[in-house]
Amino acid sequence: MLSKVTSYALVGLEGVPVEVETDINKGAVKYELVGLPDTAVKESRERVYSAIKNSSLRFPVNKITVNLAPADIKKEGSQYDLPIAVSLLIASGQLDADVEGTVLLGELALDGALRPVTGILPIIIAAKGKGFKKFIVPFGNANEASYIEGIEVYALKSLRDTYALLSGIENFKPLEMRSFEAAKSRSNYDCDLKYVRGQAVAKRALEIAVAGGHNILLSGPPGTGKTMLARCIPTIMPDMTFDEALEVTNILSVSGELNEDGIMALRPFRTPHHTATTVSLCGGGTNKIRAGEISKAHRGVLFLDELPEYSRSALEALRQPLEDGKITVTRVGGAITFPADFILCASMNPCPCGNLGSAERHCTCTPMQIRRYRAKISGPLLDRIDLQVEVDSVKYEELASDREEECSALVKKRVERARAIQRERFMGEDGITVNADMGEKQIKAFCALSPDSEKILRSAFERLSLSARARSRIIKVARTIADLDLSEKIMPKHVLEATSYRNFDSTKER
Amino acid sequence: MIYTKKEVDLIVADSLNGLNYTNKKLLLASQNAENFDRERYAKALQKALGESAFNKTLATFSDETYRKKLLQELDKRGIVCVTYKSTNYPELLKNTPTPPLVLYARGNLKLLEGELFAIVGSRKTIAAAYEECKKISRELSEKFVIVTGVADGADSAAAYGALDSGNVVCVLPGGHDSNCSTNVKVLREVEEKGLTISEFPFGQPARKYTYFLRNRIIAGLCKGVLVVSAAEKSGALNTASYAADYSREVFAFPYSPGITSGEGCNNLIKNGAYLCDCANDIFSVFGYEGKAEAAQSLDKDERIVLTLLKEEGETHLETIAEKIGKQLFEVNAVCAMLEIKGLIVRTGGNKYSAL
Repeated sequence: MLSKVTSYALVGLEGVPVEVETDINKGAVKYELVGLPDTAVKESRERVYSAIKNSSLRFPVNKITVNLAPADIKKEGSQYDLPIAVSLLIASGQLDADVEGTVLLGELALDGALRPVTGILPIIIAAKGKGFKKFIVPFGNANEASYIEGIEVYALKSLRDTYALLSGIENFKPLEMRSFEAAKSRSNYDCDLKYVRGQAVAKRALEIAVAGGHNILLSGPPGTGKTMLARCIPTIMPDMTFDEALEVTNILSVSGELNEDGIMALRPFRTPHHTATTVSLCGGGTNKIRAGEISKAHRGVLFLDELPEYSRSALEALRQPLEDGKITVTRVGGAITFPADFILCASMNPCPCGNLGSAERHCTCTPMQIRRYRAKISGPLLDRIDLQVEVDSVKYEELASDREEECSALVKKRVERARAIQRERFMGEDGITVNADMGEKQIKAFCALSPDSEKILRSAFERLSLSARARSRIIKVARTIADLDLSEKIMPKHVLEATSYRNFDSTKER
Repeated sequence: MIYTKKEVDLIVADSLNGLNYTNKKLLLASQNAENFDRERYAKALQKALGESAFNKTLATFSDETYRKKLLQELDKRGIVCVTYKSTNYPELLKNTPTPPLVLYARGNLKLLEGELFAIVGSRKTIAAAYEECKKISRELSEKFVIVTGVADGADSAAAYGALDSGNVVCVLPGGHDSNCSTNVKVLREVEEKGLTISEFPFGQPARKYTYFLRNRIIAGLCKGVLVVSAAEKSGALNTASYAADYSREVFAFPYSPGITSGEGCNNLIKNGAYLCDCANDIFSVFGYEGKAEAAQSLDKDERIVLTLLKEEGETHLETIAEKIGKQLFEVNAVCAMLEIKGLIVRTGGNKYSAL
């Protein structure tokens, strides 16, 4: 007898339907699994055998052929255990059920229990798009699967339950829809700007960076709170919409890093260590192409601590995704595009010994050493970092003072206001949502400088010996500062403030 | 370039390996002195070098193909030689105890005929002194030709300040084309717009001791020396001591206590150097009429911040904002404007200091 059960495969972040076809014939006892299975899928035979047997069912002793169609996609992962088992039961006549329109996913334990698998969310989203309405998933994936509307998801604990549900012996309730708002209110960031003492200059720069989606470089002596400041960036970013949250959850779901809640309500904050390789940052892999750190930081913050310590090639690889907001990883097996729209926050010491510009300690580096240290960050990468700020050491009085610092929620309000202005401005522009995305064309259209401002900018260039490429960067930042100021025009003071965030451009000759 | 016979002799003698300053002079004397003395000089040289080296040296010295090749190579590299016997050899340098036999020069030779003034300092120079040095160098370069080294820090500031007028001479610690500078950018620009000179034949690398030899030329060329920054032990002080030996005027920037890169300057002032904090201090010593500083138009906030910085010295942005009761980002804009106007300078760690 022949049976067909639907399951799903993941190609990158895309779900692709896979038909599990089982045919049982008379003949020599044999079990054949075809359709480009990888090792984990091939091994499913042993798991399925034991699970069926331990669920008080019978594993057919005949010539069995299982085919995973389409045959040209590589099948990876363990989610085919359940559909294979079910199709075996149907084909052997033990289960009489109509499984058309049902998607089955799940790994089997030897005792027949269902184990959670990765990538449930993108699969459900893709299958829903194809018109599938009914899903059977492992109980461990229930949270993740319960945020999608308009479908029937059964989260079951074992093969026996699945048998009972499909044969109609027992009734199970489909999962209740959970609301994203509730998940949002459950989760909180562990840091807040109010716990960061002093550092008003850097805080202001963070606000500008987030408001305009600018990348930011914090430089300062060790132990001045650069990391702490960076951790606060997500707390002042606008809340994610449900669609954004799904994008983020998709990526983490596929890489199996999803939290208990099943959805990412908070913006991700990723801090890859500086020994990270290009592949781990950007994505790749030999068999399965996995998302890299930059994709896991999608819609959030990628924090690179001690920027000059990263390998040159890893840093250079960031240039294109920083520009496009996505990365296409190409391997022999095919090309996969991952989203990578993040704010880059980098930190570094001002010099190799770290004490340059420090009030208390003395810098022992020669100008040559400092130049060499800074040259580790290439011009093109620096080009994409609009704000360069100094973080200075905090005095003891400030640490000990009771002065109330501004909390993240207040800053976030201002950021949201500035973002709203930008959304309106870029209504007709494709793919541009924040000031940092502007190209030369948009700068011309939206960042007209008054003669006064133009004059100031010109003298700033001569006087502070800024590099030519700093120009559009300063104008973009000035636009954001004007937005924060709720000013339609870019005033001289906005340009002036923007010129003060260019630490790296002016100190070069010294 | 066409040289006289005497000049060529000097260039060739200077190019020979294994001869020190005294021996080179002996060699020249043994060739050119009056008949009677030649023998005596030749004998002295023979004694100093030994028989075989002496013969070899003499042979190379009078080898015509060697001479031709040497001059061709110098021409090819665009290096012009100003020898002790040349008419355009700087007069002040000539009167020092050990004037270089040949100055190898690249760039605008006319600059050596002007009035020269040296600005030197150490590689580590605080931001405020760096900017001040640039400013003074720019003002001085209207009357003087600025002489300096090619290192980072104060030397670079002096060179950058004077580059616009082109009145800048850099004295190299090694031969031309020998990577003797860590700041290649400034070296290239000076070669283009000003003049670089060296006592050493092209390609000879800089050694620790050549910096000291170089300093004697800087001091010898100039009417005065300004020491911008110097720690307690610093090469800049070496230049200043040569200047004092040659009875040149010595000027130094004053520093507040506790700044390492200024201790040497303060010591100089203690020992009688002129205290200098603007170009007019230097102009007045040489009897020049200094220009009054053009007053810049400042608005109210800018005036307040500038006054505060002048009273308080180096101040953090947050402190300024607190003291004048304004938002940080407003103060940030004001400070940026003042910096553009060249009245204050960013000293690192979000601090500003008035000039």
